[in-house]
Amino acid sequence: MSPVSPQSWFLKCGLAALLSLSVYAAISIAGPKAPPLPTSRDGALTLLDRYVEEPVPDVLVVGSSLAAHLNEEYFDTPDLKVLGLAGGSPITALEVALARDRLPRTILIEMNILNRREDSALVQRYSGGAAPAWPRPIRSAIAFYERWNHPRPDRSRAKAAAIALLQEPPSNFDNHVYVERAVREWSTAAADAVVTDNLAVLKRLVEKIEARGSRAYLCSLPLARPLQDSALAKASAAAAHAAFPDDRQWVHLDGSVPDLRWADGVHLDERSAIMIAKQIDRFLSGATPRPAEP
Amino acid sequence: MTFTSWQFVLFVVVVFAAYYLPPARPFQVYLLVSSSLFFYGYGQAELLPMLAVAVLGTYLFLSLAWQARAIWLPVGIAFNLGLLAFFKYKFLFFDPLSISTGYSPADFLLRLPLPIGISFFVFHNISLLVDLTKDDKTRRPSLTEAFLYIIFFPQLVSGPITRAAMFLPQIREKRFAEVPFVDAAKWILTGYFFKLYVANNLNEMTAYMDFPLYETVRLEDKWLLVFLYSYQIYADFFGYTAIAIGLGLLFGYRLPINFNLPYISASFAEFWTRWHISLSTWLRTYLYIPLGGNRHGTWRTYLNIMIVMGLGGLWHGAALSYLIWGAMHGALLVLERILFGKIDDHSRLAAAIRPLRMVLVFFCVSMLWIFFKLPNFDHALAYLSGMFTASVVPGQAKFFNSLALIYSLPVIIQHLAPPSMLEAARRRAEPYLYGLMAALMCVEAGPSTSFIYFQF
Repeated sequence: MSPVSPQSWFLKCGLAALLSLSVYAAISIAGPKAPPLPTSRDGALTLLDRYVEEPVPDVLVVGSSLAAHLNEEYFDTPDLKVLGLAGGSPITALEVALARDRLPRTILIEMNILNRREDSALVQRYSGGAAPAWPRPIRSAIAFYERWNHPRPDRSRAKAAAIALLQEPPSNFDNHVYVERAVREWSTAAADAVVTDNLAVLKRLVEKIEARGSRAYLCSLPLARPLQDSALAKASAAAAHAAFPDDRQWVHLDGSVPDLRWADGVHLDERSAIMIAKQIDRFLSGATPRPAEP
Repeated sequence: MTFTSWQFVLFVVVVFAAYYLPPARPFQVYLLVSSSLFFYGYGQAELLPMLAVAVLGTYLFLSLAWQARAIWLPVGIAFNLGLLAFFKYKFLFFDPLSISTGYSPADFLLRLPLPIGISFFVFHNISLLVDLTKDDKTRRPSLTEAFLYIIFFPQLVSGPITRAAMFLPQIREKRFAEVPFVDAAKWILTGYFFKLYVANNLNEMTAYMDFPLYETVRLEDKWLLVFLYSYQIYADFFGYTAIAIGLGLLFGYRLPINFNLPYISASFAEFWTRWHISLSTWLRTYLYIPLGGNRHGTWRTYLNIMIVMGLGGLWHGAALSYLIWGAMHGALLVLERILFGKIDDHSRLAAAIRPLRMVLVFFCVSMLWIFFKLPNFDHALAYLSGMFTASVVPGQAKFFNSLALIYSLPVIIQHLAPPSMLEAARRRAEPYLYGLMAALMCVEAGPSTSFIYFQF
């Protein structure tokens, strides 16, 4: 066989690349929208993607990874969704929620983490401000396969499992290594400017929520005692209460319950998250939601 | 300027176009030297004087060694090793945030960051000193030629480490008609494909091996991540080297092959003839053999292996993890000489157990990459112990095995597909396959990350 000439080689190579890219572009434009596939299951992308695809809930809980541990299945309140973005700020989730035509009637904002700025890329992506990203074809194919292979857990079974977990004794996992590490990380107060900026944004967003007829409530999720006493936690709490002095806006969660556990030092473990979810349920059942938007 | 940036692509296009212009032909070496300096200074302009000192100093000692080798060769080598030691190991003794000697030039020097590629160009310098002073017959390069050998931009940052005796004879006028475009394209496409598609996508998962993220990883996923990192570091470094070789061809220079399917090695000795070949060749030529190699009895051979591998580990950085990584490889090399020496004498038996040995070598090599991934020794040990104890930390990250497999597949196919199959398929399908690879690396590239070996 005679060797291929460089011209012929490059022509074939270019044609193959061009043809593949054309097929890809056609499928991306005309084909079904691929769900996101973060490297680990769930994560901010999946949560936000689901939120903007599904009907607006009645109640929305927004926050950081602290709130993310409050699974929706732990709540008795019907039609409640949680947008807890690991490593993120409640502002990001609030902006996405506000970008939709309709708002949840009640929005509960976790106020523990105030030193992270809004993720503008995520907000743009999920509030219709950004052009849709070109999907990665192999990742999209795997995403379809994984969604088919791992459907969301049955809600009633998850609820039953949560109730069963409440009957069990609290975990006796020794978390002191993790608490000490977290205390070290939280030992310096956040930059004042960032917290002040974030609180100003939050005030503006809360006003917008209320102007649209919904109610916004604020809460601080309980932390392990040494973390609660840390400089970061104290400064954040003081700043949040100074910015939102109206006590009626606050949901006071009882963090002194002896059964509460933070296995990794920062986040509530499953059983404790269920207990806190029940406290929030009790508050929500007593709260008077505003009438739905017309 | 990283190989995967658009600035780099533009840079190569401009330099390539100027390089083959007929009026520029007499100045090709100067053009490559100046463009290499631009390439290096683009990211770390403050370190350009240091690079100049390293090259000019080496050339000075080279010139002196031509007069009196016995005196000036050791001085030249010490000068280069001193540079390497200063920049690589100074932070063992000084905290970069609180450096204050009261003497501002000293503070400035101590605060300088680790120059990119220092480990590589120092080895080039030593090769230059040793190779060119061996005898009087060797052609003596000009300063510009020495500069080009040391700072030729495709190999400046992460090799392959080219021996002076191999590179310098290639310095001559280059013509456009002589450029092996297809070969260059194949190397460059393969390199970018392995970096963008394999390494960058796998990096999204192996980022979970870092502290403290690994504490959220399930036991079985910790094992998975170790093997994924094995594929990632290969794809990353092989990818870089392939791009460097391809770029070298575009400018008329053949750089040495640095990888030869290392994960099918049936012994650790074989592994080191297939992995980072240019480094192991350098260490053998300039360290192992001068130490006596295997010429002074069994125990001295073992000692030499341990010294070379330990120093090879430390060459990567001033961390206990790197030393342990090198020493463990040394220990495995010694151990296999003791255990497998007899087996290797029986060719049938050796052939029968070759697949088992391949698995064993791949397993051990992968496990030792943990020390590479986690230079903090405590973190590496914690990761290792976590591979044998179930994690009780809640909120564990989980990984998609399907995704891990699909991104690792090119490395697996490259290593396990019979060469005859690839050879036969290549005849007709090769250009189309490269076209597909080009398309795939454009649309399926993982998030951008720097090359792993840039840190060395």
